[in-house]
Amino acid sequence: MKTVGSSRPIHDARGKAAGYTKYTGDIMLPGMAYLCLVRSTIPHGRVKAIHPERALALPGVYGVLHCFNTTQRAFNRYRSRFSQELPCEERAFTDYVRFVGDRVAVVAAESQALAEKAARLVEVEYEELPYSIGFDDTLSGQNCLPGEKPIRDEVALENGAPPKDDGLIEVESFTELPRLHHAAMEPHACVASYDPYQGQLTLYSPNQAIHGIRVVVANYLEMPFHKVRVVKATMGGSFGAKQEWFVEPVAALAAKMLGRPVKLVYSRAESMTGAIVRGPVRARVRGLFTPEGKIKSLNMDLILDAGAYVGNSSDYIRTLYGKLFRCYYVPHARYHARVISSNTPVAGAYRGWSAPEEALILERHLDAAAHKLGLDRVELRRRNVLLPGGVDLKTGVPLEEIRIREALDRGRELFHWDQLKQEDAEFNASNARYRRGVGVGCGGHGSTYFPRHDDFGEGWIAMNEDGTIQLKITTHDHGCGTVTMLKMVVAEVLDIPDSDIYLAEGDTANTPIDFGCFASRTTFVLGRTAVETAEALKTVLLERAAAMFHQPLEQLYVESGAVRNRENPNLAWPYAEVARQSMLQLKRNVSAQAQFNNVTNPGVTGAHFAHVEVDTWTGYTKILDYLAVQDIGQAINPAMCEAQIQGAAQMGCGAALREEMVVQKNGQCTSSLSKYHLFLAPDLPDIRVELIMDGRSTEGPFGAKSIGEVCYVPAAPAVCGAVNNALDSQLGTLPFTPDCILKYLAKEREV
Amino acid sequence: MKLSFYVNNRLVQLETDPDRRLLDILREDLSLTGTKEGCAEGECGACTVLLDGEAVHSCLTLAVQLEGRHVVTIEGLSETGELDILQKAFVEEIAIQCGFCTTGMIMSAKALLLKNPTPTEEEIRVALSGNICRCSGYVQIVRAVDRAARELREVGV
Amino acid sequence: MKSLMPKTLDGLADALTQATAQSRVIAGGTDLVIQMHQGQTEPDLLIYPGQIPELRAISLEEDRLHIGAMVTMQELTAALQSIPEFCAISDAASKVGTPQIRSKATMAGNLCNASPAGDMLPVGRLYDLELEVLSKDGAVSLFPMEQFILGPRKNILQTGQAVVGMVIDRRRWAGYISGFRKIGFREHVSIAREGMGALVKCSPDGVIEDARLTLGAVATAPIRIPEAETLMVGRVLDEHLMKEITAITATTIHNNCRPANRLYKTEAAQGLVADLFALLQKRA
Repeated sequence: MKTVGSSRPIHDARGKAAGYTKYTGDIMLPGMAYLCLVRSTIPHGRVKAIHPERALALPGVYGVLHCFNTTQRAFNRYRSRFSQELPCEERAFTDYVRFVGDRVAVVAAESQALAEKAARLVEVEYEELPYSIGFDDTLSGQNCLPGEKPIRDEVALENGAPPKDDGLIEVESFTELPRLHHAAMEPHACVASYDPYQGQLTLYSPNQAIHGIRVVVANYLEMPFHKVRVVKATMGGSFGAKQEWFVEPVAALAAKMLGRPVKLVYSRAESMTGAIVRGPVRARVRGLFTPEGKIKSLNMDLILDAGAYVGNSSDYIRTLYGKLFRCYYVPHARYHARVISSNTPVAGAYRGWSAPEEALILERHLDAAAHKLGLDRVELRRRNVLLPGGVDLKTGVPLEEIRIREALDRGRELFHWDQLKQEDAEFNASNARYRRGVGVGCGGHGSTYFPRHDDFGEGWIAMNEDGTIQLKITTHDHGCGTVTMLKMVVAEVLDIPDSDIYLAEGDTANTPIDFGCFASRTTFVLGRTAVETAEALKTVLLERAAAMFHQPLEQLYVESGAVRNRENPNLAWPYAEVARQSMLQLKRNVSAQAQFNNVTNPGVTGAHFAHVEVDTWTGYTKILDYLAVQDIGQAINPAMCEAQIQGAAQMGCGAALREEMVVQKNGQCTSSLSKYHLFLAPDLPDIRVELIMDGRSTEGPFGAKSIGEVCYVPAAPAVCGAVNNALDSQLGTLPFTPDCILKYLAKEREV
Repeated sequence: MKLSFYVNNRLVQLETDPDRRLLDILREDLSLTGTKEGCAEGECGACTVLLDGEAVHSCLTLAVQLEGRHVVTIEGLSETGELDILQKAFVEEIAIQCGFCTTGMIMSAKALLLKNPTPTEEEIRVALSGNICRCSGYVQIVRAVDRAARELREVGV
Repeated sequence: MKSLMPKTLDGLADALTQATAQSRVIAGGTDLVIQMHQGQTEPDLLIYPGQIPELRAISLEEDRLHIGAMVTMQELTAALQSIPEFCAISDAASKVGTPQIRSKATMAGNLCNASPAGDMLPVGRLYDLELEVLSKDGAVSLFPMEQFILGPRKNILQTGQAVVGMVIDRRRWAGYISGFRKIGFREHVSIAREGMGALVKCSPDGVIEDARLTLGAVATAPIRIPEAETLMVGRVLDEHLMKEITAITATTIHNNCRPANRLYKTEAAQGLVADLFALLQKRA
């Protein structure tokens, strides 16, 4: 392969380095209004009255839209396709507020600063209602949503038969995961413009599914689909945060009502509490193991706090169960899960879509099992991981060349796992202050929607008169390089430089329908679509050349940007020649279309290793070394994959040790990065990455599998395991902050 | 107030409010949108620019503080249309993903290299400690700054 | 909104005559701009004294250290990091916020802001620092730190007054070594959860002749630890002394901090004192 497997920067790297690339917040349209939302300051209640007069009195304020002068039609933020059955419970502005941050009104003004100032002048009168700030309130009967059940959903699932073997060893574990913020550096944003004369609405936003937004906004505003154009703008990071729609419907409504373009950019506080969060989870697992450490049964009881709106939570708990079968052989599993509501920020999509939560719960459980059985943690995992040729026991889908055991073995060796364990023991024995430990985490994910949804992609391609390529596939690049990836795939098939291909991101007016960037499907499904599309073009090229240049089709092939004859090396027709002659002689453009219907979802996994040093006098944990081994299949652009994996490690370190959004008794939630502590450059070592590329997929492009989500799955478990190893503890309530660690040590001292 | 100051070596004179943020002046009045707003409270570093050669948050700098001073934004590094050594190093070391932190990150690195042409890895990491990147593990970013420092030394800048 | 950018001290006094209770003097702006942006304060007048040369100067004179009100944390760090008796100031200044914050934020601003977590508060207290306050009539009066800070986010300044500089008696601390350490939520870039400053005078053979210790971010204002200071005299900077100081510090923290953080802050005293001792041992 000439292109696939070589490394290059993201397509717009130069523009980004120059500050030239435009993000949604950078878009300025003539006559544009800046929007600033007025949000509920109370966790639960009714809006009795809104007084916008003082805001409206400011010169330059265009209007105040609120719950009493706009439609009370509702939408569901999580809808991404027309066929989902979901409750519509969310309004653009509501007179029934369910959490601190619920939208009550929006101010439109000639500048951002003025909109913000005016928004502060909008007075809202509330009638306050009792509220719940989480599990304990809701479960003790504090009804946070009158007329609605506090337990919003409940599910019981089982796979396999309970084990009958005698002599099994029972292991119990408890894990509690906090609410998390995605912390994409670009806050949520949307620019909307409405042409009343053509009835045409255009939305620009950094989002993960232009067609999903089209469904939601068109239904919400009762518009036909072709009148709603959604353009994917350059995205300053998402991690799932820009996968649900609350910015776009509001901006669309405002643009339509005001009759002028609008820009809505969230503040950091709004992106933290007024968007989506990863919902808090509590889980108890009872497992049965053979004395050799083989899993015989897992019994998991889980509860998820959806926050104020159900959003995706019902699907989320069901998806979480499925993740149990993506990394380990679990012959019997029983699962009971509940979704509760509370008057807190809304839970939603987060990188990994429940797999990281599942992994934190299960990896904690496996560490507890290893402890109880006296087995090495890597060894215990080795005995349980799925092997090549295995199947997903829940769905029956073949896992193909899953390489998790190889990842564990390779990691154990490269990380010097056994040696480190010994060195740490010596270090700890001779050190009063610092304790060192190692941890391992494994995790699996998918590469496609299959079999949950039918999954397909479509591509359109044409050759220009100079031999360069116009490609249309609906892609939503988060900054991970999927545009580059698609170009590389097409370049490989046509044997041209990827710089000869033009590919813009998704635009409902210009690119084919697509389900969006969910389920880590872009590289697999759209990458393969790109292969099929390029192959279709290649066929056209060969057929045209055969016809025009009177060559036997079976003798023709393409190489280095030209159609050639296998039998006669002197014969070669550069693509430009074929394209031009096709137009001149045949009066036909060289173009093609292709669809790819996906019916596979191979196992994609990773094993991460962390070495930490805990300062028992301050509670700080330092990451001494980190290794991520990913079973990726063919990496199309390895350097971008590595960068993404290192980012996942950074995020996992944060989830394990620092990150948490806390809702206080008054319903106020953490809403500043000064209180949500992320990992910074001096906090991290040179994160090492090892790619295992021989577990290739049968259907993905050139054997590729997914990477963006799966690499986050094992990260936090590895770090948590390392801390527990260092302290010889069984901590399960994240994050392991300095407070948590010193509290534990103080308690241990008392015992 | 009447404000005169320098942006990317050009004199800028404008009538503005004293409490207007430098970030807004750059983005809205001068259309220099390469400087980003990520938090408006000095935590993320996306809005970093040089003020008299030092890295500062443009979101925490007001018009009243700017009279006669020199601001350099990301656009000032590649005014000829050619990326400078530091920008090129970010591209070539694959230090750019979503790019939203990139311009601020580059400006912090620029401030470091102006003062310290031979930074150690630790010094680079500390100099970038006010810039959050959520996409990466900072590995390529640190490498890019190190590479730029080496290349700058070689060309004798 | 009005603004004034005086270029001289007299000009600043003139500017102060126009100030009302809503007016604000802006130095680095790293705290004030956040408050303004969030609508917590809406000044009618902003006075920026950054163009006054005297306020930008840091001068190490024979009998005193004078720090202009507009001297940044970064400038402080650079100027004082190699002067043993003032290392505590550079230690603290070098860990305030991020590089971007340190290139604008000032010690004067930190003291005026009077946040209990402000890193320069325990340092100011350590040296019996005095603040020079300019009034609109042009008079400059000196206030010791303890008098200047009235409580959390409250200082003694009245309408028409501004801090123009800070003074430390250099003779008083000649021959001392000093240091400051803090503990935050993370190792780099964090608001202090507790900070500790020390000034120690040792004889040539390492026996402590005098010591002073202050704690920040524990109580609403910085506190000294007299019991520990007394105990240190006649001892050397060794493990045994460190253990005893840790115990006293932990008790002091326990008795002075809010219940919500008590356990952590008390436990972490061990790390705080150990790190501070390591710093002092290195500098002794």
